[in-house]
Amino acid sequence: MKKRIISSLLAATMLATVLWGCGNTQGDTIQSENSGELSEESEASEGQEVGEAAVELSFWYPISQESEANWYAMMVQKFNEEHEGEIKILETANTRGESFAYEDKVSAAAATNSLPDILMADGPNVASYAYSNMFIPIEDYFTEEEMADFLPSTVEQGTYNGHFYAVGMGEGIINIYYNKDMLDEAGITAPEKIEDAWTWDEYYEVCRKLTKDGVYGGNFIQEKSGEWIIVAFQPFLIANGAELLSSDGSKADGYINSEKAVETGEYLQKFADEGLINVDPTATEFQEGNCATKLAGAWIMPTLEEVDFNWGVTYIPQQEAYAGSTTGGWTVGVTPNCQNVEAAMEFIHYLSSPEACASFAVDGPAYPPVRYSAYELLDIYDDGPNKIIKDTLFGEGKARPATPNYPIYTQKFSEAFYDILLGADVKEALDDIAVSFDQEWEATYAN
Amino acid sequence: MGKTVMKKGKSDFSKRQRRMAYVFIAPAMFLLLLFLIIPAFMALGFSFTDFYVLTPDKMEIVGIDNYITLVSDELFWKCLKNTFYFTVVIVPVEAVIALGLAVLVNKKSFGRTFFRTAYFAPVISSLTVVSILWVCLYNPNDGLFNAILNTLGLPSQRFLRSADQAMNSILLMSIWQGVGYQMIIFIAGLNGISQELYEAAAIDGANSVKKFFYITLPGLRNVISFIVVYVTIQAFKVFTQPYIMTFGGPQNSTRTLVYYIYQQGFQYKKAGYASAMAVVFFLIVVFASMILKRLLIERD
Repeated sequence: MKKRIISSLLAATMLATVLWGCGNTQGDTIQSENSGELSEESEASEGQEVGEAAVELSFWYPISQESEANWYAMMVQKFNEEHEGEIKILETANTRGESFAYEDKVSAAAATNSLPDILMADGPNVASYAYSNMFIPIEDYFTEEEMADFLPSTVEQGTYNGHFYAVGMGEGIINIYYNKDMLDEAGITAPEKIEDAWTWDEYYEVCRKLTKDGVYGGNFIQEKSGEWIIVAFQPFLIANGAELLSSDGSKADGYINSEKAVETGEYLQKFADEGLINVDPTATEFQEGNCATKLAGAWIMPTLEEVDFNWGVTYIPQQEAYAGSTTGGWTVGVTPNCQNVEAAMEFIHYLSSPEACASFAVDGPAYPPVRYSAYELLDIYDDGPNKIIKDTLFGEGKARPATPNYPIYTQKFSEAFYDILLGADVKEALDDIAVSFDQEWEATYAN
Repeated sequence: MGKTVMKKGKSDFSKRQRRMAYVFIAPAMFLLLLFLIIPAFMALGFSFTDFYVLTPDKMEIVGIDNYITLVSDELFWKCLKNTFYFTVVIVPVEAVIALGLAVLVNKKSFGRTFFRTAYFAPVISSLTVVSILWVCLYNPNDGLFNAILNTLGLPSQRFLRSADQAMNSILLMSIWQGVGYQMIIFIAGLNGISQELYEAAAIDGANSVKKFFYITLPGLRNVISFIVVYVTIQAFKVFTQPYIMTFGGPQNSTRTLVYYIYQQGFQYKKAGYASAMAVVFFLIVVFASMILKRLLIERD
């Protein structure tokens, strides 16, 4: 008798634990550490007398850069305070890391029809999500003035098949950041004007000169896999006249494995072969003073406030007179699950207003704003490193290819180029990207 | 029921016992059914479709197309080869080392408990944490291993960043991590061999080596077969180490089957194709286990 009671209790406990563990719904799962206090506050405000139930919208954002994630959490809190009783945003932060963990979560939600109302997506994924009906077109919610206020690269990023699906707040942009003390010591001055950007040969020489005493001249690898690799190396490909994909995003053979692309791969491989870059660096190699120059995005600037050396920014090396850079950033859009698109767009406008974009640059991850009017609210872009970043963005910013077949492309690109840095045959590695992409396109999208 | 002595017949008692057994098993069976058996059949079903994760409504039946694609998928065969290599190396090496350690650690010597704990400690550590730690140890520039090599006058190695060394580096770490588990099982097996056999052999003048080969090994036959089958199955499933340490590279040299299935299913969102691969993977593992069992299980 006792045995039966115990075993039934155990069984019941186990079942209850399993169901509780599996039954977490959106809105009350992983909150980012900083919004731990936030949830208490919004709980408290919810407890107050509200005439009609506030419209609750679920919102997913990634933890990619810490400063970025904190900014989203802060905006949600402010929005909820200002719209108390009307709209309440229930946020869920999902980590991204050196992989696509956030995208995995979104895919799982798409498969089970449990996407949030408002979803953030990395720029290059917008095409894929739009193709799969995970976003609804939102061009009707922006006036023509507003659309003209956005940078062309931002509009391009959020557009697929003629419709506008997702908008960003800041454009990521990469440059070469350098340790001014080390350059001064070697008698090197970094170019300040985009026309004067180092050529490929000049940059190679710079790195050679600066690689000594355990310090690397360059640093190309922020993350060994994931989205970083294509962001880092697209400008080099474009600078050499190679293209990543056909303009309609349907074909890779002949583009990513063209002769110019192979040349680019060989150029990059030279840095690794000769020990000018660390093929397995820590994420803070530059901040620690172990490399003289580093390929990085604007998000690195908040982390440079505490370093003990002088630093500067310059342009990515040019070839054939193009010193370009990759743009792109996280965007936000509305999913078909959303029952109240007006409320959702209210939040999206809140996130992407000129003031918000300015705040994104100043309080967030320091990405330059996507709206021209935001620059009038800021003076940090008038000189210094930020001016160089702004010049890069306005002058030569280029988004990554927009194609629904992007996930395979970026994965293969990332594998191929890291392999190239580790010594793989360049042509073979690039051919592999082309074959994989084209095969997948034929199988899935060619109809 | 309390302390009343059961005066009823034997059959009632054993019926009660059997029912109790079912009650005890029921929760586990329920979980197994929900999370293992049903999804396995779902995967089988999905393997005949073109299920693309982001568009579940557009799923269509495509028959055996996925299986045909699989046969001509070069990367699939490469992953299979990598997985086979990993398994074929790790099983005997781990088993031999574990047996050696077990024999050493079984003698009543000073520090026996300490060594047992030390060898077993890696097993209870999280594989993910161990993988991350070993990435640091293997770092081509600042890693401990290269520092040691350099002190001995040997050149630095690239370990995980070299297509030739990456898989072996992962193997080394995996062996280090897993050997303690088999060691414990071998210890149990060793203690199950009757001491009298050893004494009898000693009287007959057998030395340690003869004792080992003629008493210990045969006595451990069943334990060895269990370990071989168990480690083989575990080795086929290797995923964490390549995922964390090498991302399947360099040049796909450490991409294992499970990793490729994960990539197809989660990154490329092609759950239909991934399911087909999973089915084939399952069949391979079952087949391998059956062969091993046939070869190893003692026929009494």
